[in-house]
Amino acid sequence: MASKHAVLGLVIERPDYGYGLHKRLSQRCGPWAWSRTAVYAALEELSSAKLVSADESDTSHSSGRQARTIYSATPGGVAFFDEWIFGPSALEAPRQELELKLVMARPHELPRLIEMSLLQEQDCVERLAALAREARRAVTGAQRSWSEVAARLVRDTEVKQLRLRVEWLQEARTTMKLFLSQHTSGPDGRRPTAPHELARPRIVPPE
Amino acid sequence: MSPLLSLSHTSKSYWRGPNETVVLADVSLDVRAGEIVAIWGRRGAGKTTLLKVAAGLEAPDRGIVSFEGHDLSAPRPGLAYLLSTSIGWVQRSGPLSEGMLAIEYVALPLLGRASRREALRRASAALAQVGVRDCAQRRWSALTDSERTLVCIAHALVREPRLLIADDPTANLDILQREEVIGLLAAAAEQDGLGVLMTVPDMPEMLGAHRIGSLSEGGLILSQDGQEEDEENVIDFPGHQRSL
Repeated sequence: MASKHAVLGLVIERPDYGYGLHKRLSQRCGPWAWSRTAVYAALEELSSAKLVSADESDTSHSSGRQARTIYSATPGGVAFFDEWIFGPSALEAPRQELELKLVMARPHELPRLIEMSLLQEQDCVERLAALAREARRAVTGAQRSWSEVAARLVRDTEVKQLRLRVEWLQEARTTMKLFLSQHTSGPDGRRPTAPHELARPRIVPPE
Repeated sequence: MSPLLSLSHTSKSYWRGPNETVVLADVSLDVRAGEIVAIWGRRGAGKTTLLKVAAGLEAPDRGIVSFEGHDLSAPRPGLAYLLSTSIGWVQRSGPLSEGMLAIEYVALPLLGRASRREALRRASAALAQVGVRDCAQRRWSALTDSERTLVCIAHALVREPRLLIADDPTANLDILQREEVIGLLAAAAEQDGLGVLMTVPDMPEMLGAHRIGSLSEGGLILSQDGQEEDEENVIDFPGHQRSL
């Protein structure tokens, strides 16, 4: 998934300058929007491929501001965008650092990984809370535009991914505790420690 | 703003023979007026126990549960009245008799506290508040799942509680009906300053909440207090600080 397709789509909707495109992209794509640098890099690539044309704005002379470069889609750009939007969408395999750490961890490192799983679950909950704030501000009902409906769909897919992540983190934590309980002697040296007897790491809220 | 409900370091275990099951482990939680707090957890995670402890229906083994500053675990004159009038519990089970009219079921909590005419008037208003006034004269057996859910919410709201506790109020509803129920609770929170503590069967229902939490193995992971924009939306209702 390349930023050039998203930037080109916005330029086709209406000509705009780089800063405006980045702002619109952030509003449209939310958490996975690209950085401003990536937007300018995409515009350069699209200009080189003659998929967009760049023109100096003429309204800047009256306001005394520096002229801005306004980007418009070329016919070739529209055709390129159509080819992308009607083409197949690749399913990208998620790759998370915590999974890699699990694979590479030695048993004595599991308590620390249990703590990490709790911290990551806290991150998921904070992200869900941020999405909840967005959802409360969002327009609802039949008066929604397509971009608002699409934003809701994008939010929903992120919520579902977060739910799966939280479920997996909880299961991973239970499994790690169970493994430790089966491979660790209890305080009396005779029985293994039950999972709920293992110290629960405390989460320190961020400042 | 001081919270309506406060759980401080509460723990709760059940014993089945020699086996201890830790349901709540050092759980702390606040619910303020005008705020919805939604808790998600897998089946058996302890969500219902958390709600029962919060409502004063079950005492925690350790920790303090307080409502408007009053310790719910310390029996005192007037406490039962405070709990019964200030905390609404959304029961999804409905009336014992399937043949009961919706308006009669909603009016039930007012019997003995108001005249029949007054109870029915307030029940009708509560049904209107949740958008199902047209269900008033229908029997429980004739109501759809979503209508039953809304009638149960009206049943909990009829005594005008300051805190509403709801156990999976959106279970068995489709996505549009869920949005309707969540929207309804959000409106009651924002307009009337109702505090809401609810559990949800799935995460999308959390999107109407101000704060959300994830419960597993007795531990609650709760989102931090809302940012400034949320502070603006949570209304201070000084009248809510009543004494016993």
